[in-house]
Order: sequence, then structure tokens, then C-alpha cells
Amino acid sequence: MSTWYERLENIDPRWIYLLVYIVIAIPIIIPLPSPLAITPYTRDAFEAVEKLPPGSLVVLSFDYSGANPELHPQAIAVLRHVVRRPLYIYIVGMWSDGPVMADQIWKVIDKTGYDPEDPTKLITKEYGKHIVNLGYLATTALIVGVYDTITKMMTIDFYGNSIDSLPLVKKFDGIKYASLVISFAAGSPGPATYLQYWATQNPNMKFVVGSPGVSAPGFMPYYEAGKLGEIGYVGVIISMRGAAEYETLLGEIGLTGAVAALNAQSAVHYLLVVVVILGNLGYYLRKYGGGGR
Amino acid sequence: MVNFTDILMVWISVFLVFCVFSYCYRENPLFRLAEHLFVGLSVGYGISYDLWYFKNYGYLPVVYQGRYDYLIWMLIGLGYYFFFSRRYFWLYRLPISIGIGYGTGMALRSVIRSDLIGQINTTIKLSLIGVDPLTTLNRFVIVFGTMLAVVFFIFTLELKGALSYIPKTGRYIILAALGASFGNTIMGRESLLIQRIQLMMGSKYFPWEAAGIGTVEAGSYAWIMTLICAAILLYMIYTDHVKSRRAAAEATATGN
Repeated sequence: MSTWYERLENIDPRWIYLLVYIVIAIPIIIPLPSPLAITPYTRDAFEAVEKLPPGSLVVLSFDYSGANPELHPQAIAVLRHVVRRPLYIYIVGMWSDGPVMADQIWKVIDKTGYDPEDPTKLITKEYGKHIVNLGYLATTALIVGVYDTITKMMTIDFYGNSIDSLPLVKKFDGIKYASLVISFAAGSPGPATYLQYWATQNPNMKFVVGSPGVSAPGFMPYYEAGKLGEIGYVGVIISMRGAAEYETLLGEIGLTGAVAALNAQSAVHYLLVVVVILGNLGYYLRKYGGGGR
Repeated sequence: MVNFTDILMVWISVFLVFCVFSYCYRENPLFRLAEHLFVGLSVGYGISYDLWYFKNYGYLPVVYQGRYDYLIWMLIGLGYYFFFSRRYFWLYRLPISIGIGYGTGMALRSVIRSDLIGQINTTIKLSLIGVDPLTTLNRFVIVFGTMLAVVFFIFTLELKGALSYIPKTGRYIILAALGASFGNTIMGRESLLIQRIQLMMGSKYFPWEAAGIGTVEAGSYAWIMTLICAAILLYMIYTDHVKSRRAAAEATATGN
């Protein structure tokens, strides 16, 4: 007859998978409001957009593929924010799927925002005039080249329009005019590439990174650097939680679905902590409780 | 009015998510179907994107804009294909050497500034005393953690006696960083799972339109496919159970 902890150690992992599924599904079926503390990393990212003077140019880089639910909610919230503010927007992507992700969001997002020419006036933002999707930056040469002159490096935008025909490109013919670059990065190439090729050329250009959970610790030293005015990030949005915080700061709850997912995330965190404690307890009881091997 | 195509898109998504999740139970043909579909779609997508890229950034500028200088780089680029020729393999080295030379030059100019000098400056400039005790603790961890972790990677000099604690502490700092990374990874994976379950449950909070999968109204029909998938899973469990009982009965019969 085996003890309870021996049975626990030999449990079929499929029961744990089922338990995780149930623990996540319940808060999704029965959504409840939950308190959400805003981390300084997300607040700084939000403030970086909020403090931009009207008429500034922002570059959003979609450096992830379709299979990244951590970054897509972040991108929805941030794109909505920059559309709402009186800003001009360039969209690029160092991942081939990135501009497609941006297109999916642009098609359905609320396009109402303040006019960069007259920040007191609410308008509907227009493609070509206020926002341009430049498409996929496939090579380092292109990344370096568009910093200086877009029209020399690109012939068409993501939708196949001639680059020369777009009023926004005529106004800002180069990424060098941007005040802020926000990269939603699932891996490499990612924001480090922009730090290397753009930040080193323009110390006044600010950078924010939207990070998946796994990469966040690696971005933290650069966040400290960015706060001190060195080459780095002035804000970091971390995973779905960061998206939920951004959505809350934006005041458009329900925009990305991230806030609604947080209860499920908390529930599964508790479950994992309990499972890890039980697993370790079983291990130590077996080792020191007389059943050691 | 809900469009049936949107509902179909939602159902296909739910079914494919189920096919992938079914691997948690065991390896099965449904999982392989999703796996092969994914590989095929990725390769097809990649090839079509490359062709699109060549058309717009190679063919059109040369033919319609007179950018004949592009032809030089295209010819050099074709050198990659001499990898398959023993006789002309040396031509393969040409684009490789240009790429490496260009890449190294660019990296030397920029990486040293962004990743080395900038970070050293930050560590030096960082005031150890922060606005609150937790910030102060963070600063101590960053400044001393950096130094201790760097010492861990000094392999040319063996630190003995009391000094041996320095690289040992550096190792703990690195392990703590790996722990933080692992914790964040778990949080990230949970996020992936939560959104897939939102999809399967037809949650109204799932970004249906922004994800390119139908509409919120169409999403509300997702549960129908989820129930069908649950029935398929139960059938798999049942057939496995029957098989294992039959195998046990046969083993008993053979034993007798």
C-alpha cells in the first residue's frame, strides 16, 4: 500500500492538464471583476505615448507572428492609444507576419482620434494621411536604410500603394523623424536591432518594448538604462498582464480581452503554486520520512 | 445577422486547437493532422511571401523603374545556389563574405555602443539609494549582481579560499535570474493557454475580429464545436479503455 505522497508523485500528468483546463475555464465562463495594480513598467510605456507633443511621429513595429496571444492584446491597446492621440503613425515589422497582424487590428479598431494638425478636433484617422503600414523590413540593409530615407529604400507599402503617393511619407520621409518607437517583440529580430541601428544614431528617439513573459527579465537592464537617458527602453509592457494594465490605463476596458483573462491567470498561478508545493512536499516526505531511496 | 462563413472559421479554429491539445492525452492522428497542416501552411506562406518580396523589391524596380544596379546584387545573391556545385563552390563564398563583412561592420559600430558602453554607463551612473527600500534593493542587485555574475565567467584565474565565494555568489545571482525568466515563461505560456480556452469557450472577451477569426456573434457558437471535440476526446478515452481491458483479458487468458 503506497502512501498519499507516493501516489501524488506518481500521478498521471493528464489529471493536472485537466485541472489546469478547468481552473482556467471557470473564470472565463463566470467573469468577476478583479483589482489590478499597475506596474511602473507599463505606466512608463503609457506615459511615453501620452507625453508626446501633438504632431509627433510614432513607429509601431510588429515583430511577432499570429501565434502570439501575449503580444496581440498589447498591440491592440497601444495602436488604439496612438490613434486616439494627435499623432502620426508608421507601422513596420521585422517578422513577415507582423504587418499582417497590424492590418488585422487596423481593419477593426476604432479610428476616432485627435487631429495631429489641430489637437482639439476629433477626426477619423485616415490611412495614408495619418497612418501608413510600411510592411516587412526583411533585411538589415532595409532597417538601416529606412531610418534615413524611406522612398529610396521602398517602392510600395503593405497594401501595394506607391510609397511616393502617400502624404505621410511625403511629410516624414525617414524613420529619423520619429520621436518614439514601440516594438512588440516575440524574439529576434526584435527591439535590440532598433537600439543598435536607430538609437545609436539618434539619442533623442525613445523606445518602448512590448515583451512576452519569457523575454521580460532580459529587457530590464535596458529599462534601467532608458530611464537614465542611456540607450534602452523607457517602458516595458510585459505579457498579457501588461496588456491588461495598458487597457486599464487607456480606460477602454474590454478592448483586448486581457483584463477579463487575468482572473484565469491568477487562478492558474495559485494552482501551479499548490502543485509545486505538493510535489516538493511529497519529495521531501519520501526522502526524509522513512521512504527514502 | 451572423454570417455562416464566420461561424465556420470559428469552428475550424476551435477544432484545430482541440487537435493540438489532444496531444496532452496521447499522440493521435488528429494531432498529426494539425501538425502537418501547420508545417504545410508555414512553408507555403513563406514561399509566397518570398515571391511577393522578389516581385516588389527585385523585379518591379528593375523593369519599371530602371534600377539596373539591383541586377548586380541579384547576380551576387544567386551565388548562394553554387553551394550545390563542387566545381563552382567558391562563388558561394562571395555573397557569404559580403554578408559577414557588412554584418560585422554594422554590428561593431552599433552593438558596442548599445549593448556594452550604454549598459556599463548605466551601471556606473545608477545611484544605489533609491526612492524606497525596494528600489534600493533592486539597485544593489543590479550593480553587485552584474559584477558578481561577470566574475563567475572568469576562467583564467582560480579564486581560492574566501575569494571562492565571489563566483559562487555570482552563480546564485545567475540562477535567480534564470528563475525569474522561468517564472515569466510560465506566465507567458499560461497567457497562450488562456486565450485558446477563451476561443474554445466562445468568450465575448476574445478579440475575434482583431485576431481575424470571425466576429463576436460568430464566436458565441464556438461551444458547439467544443462539445463535439469533447465527445471525440471521450470516445478516444473509451476506446483506449476498451483496448486496455481486452489486452488485460487476453494476457490473463494466455497466462492461464
